[in-house]
Order: sequence, then structure tokens, then C-alpha cells
Amino acid sequence: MRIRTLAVTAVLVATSLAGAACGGGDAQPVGRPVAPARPTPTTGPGASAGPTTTTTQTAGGSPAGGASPGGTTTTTPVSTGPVISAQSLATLNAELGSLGTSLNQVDNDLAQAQGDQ
Amino acid sequence: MNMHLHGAHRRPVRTTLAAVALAGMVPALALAAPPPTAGASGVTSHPTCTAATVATAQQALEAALNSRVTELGTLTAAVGAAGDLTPGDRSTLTTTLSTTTSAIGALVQKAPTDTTCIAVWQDARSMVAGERVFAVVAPQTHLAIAADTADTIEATVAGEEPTIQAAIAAAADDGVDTAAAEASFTDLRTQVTAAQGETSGVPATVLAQTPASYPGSTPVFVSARDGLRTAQGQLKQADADLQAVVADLR
Repeated sequence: MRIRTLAVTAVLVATSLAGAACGGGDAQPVGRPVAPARPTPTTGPGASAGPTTTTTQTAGGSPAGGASPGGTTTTTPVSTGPVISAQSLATLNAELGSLGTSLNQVDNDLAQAQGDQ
Repeated sequence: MNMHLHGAHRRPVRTTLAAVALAGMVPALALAAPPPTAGASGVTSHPTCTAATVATAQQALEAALNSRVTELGTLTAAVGAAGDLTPGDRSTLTTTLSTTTSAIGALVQKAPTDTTCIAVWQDARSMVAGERVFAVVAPQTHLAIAADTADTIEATVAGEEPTIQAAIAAAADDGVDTAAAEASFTDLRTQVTAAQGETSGVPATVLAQTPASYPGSTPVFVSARDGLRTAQGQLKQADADLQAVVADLR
């Protein structure tokens, strides 16, 4: 009886390892996203399209090992891209320019206020 | 009241309103500042206007009115083009500009009919003290626009903070050294918070000023301008921080 138990255990371990070796077993926990690729900008901030996909892998194999087809891979688009788009940065700079223009006008207003004294 | 009818006005005047106006030396000052005074005869008169110079004073008044019409048109256009104005501030400014334009327009119609020094003086007084186009309306318009623009910038940058924070966290998970990005991000948040403190309440404060608030309105405007200048510097630094984060996380 003891010998039979040990044999069964050995078989289970062996099949499990075999399943892992053929791609069925995956070290990734179920549903853990794989880190997206780093952005690769060309020139200037936001010039790169950045990563466009992320990959999620599920664990393959069965608890008993065997010839399972392995984990599934799902590729979905994400919107990370550059941290802030070039357009947003340009808009922000334009707003800063408008702020400066308005404050310069205030300076002129205060200088001309004597006309109302 | 034609001052020519009173003996008190036959004496030579020290400085005529017309002379000041023709010299281009702040005509509004000469037109509006000294109120009519009671002469020896007890009749209200003006020390800087004579019957001989009424026409010139009248022309100076019309020129001063026209300059205000031009200014009000410029301010109205600025409000129309200011995309960052809040609806409430836009409404307030639009009402103020419309009311002021109507008042100045009425004076434009009346000024040519003035035939006496006192009539010219009264219209000039209404133009300056009643409307304060240059001393109140213009700075409050530009300050409200500037403050709302600063508010928009602050909201825009603050709105990006979660995205930036997530990007830094993702980069760190990916093994990237994010120390510099984190430092820039921390400074960005500090700058935006400080700018919000400088900007907060400015629109309401400046829009509460009226022609009657003058001259007390001037230090209010100067203080608001100084605060917004400080906010401008802080927002420029926040923008630099933002660009540094973007560069660090490439």
C-alpha cells in the first residue's frame, strides 16, 4: 500500500512537470497583467505613440498536469502612451501665454488708471 | 449755468481747462477733479473754464469719451474671446460692460449739446467718476480673465496628477528608476497647490469693485495682480515639472 501511494505521487509529479515543460504550466498567477512595453518616443515629449497593447496571460495546465493546451493570451489596447500628450502640453503652454498676456494688460491698465483720476 | 454771465468769471483764470486739455496733460483730471465752487456771488462756477474756452473743453470731453468708447469695445471683444471665463464671471463682465457702454454712449450724445462750462464739467464728472472705465472696468476685466485662465491651468494640471502618478508607479514596477520623476511630480503638486491659493477668490474680489469703490479699488487690483503674477510663476514651474516627468518616463 505504501509503495502504491508513493508510485502514484511520483506519477503525478512527473506529469505535472511534463505539463509545465510543454507550456501548459505557467508561473504567472491567474490574470496578472504583464507590464506593458516602455514607450519609445522619437523626438520631443509625446512624440511616440507609446505602448498600444497590454498582455494578460492565464495559467495553463490542469492541476493534474497532462496535455492541456496551455494558458490563453489576451491582447487588449491600452491608452497609456506618453504620460501627457504633446497636444495637452501645447495647450497648457498656450494657456500660460494667455495668462501672461492678460497680466501684461493689467499692468497697462493700472498705469493708465490716472486717466480716470 | 453759463459762467460768462457772472462777474466772477471775468477775472483771468490761472489755468484753463482747455489749455490743459490742449496740452494733452490728462484732460480727464482737469475736467473732473475740481468741482464747481461757490463764488463771491454765491453762484456755482468752475475755476478752469470760461465762456471763451467752453467749445475747446467740449471737444476735450468728446475726445475723452471717444477714448472710452474705444476701450470698452476692446474690453468687450476681450471678454468674448476669453475662453476660460466661467459663465458667471462672463455674465458679470458682460453686464458691466454693457451698462458702462450705454452710459458712455449717452454722454457721447449729450456732450455736443453742452453750451456751458458747468454742463461740460458735469458730463466729464459723470464720465470719470460715474464710470471709471480706465481705473476700474479695464483692470477688473483683465484681472478676471487672467484669474479664470489661471484657474483653468491649475485644474488642467491637477487633473493630470492621477495619470502621472500611475505612470510613475508603472515605471517603478517595470524596474525604472523613478526618483527624478517622483521629485518633479512632488514639486508639481506643491506649485499647483500654491498657485490655487494665490488665485482663489480673485475673480469675486475684482468683480465686486465698482466705480464707487475708487480709489480703494486700486490697491485691490494691485494685490490681485501681484498674486496672479506669483501664481503665473508657480504654474510655469509646474509646467516645467510636468515636462520633466514626461522626459523621465520616456
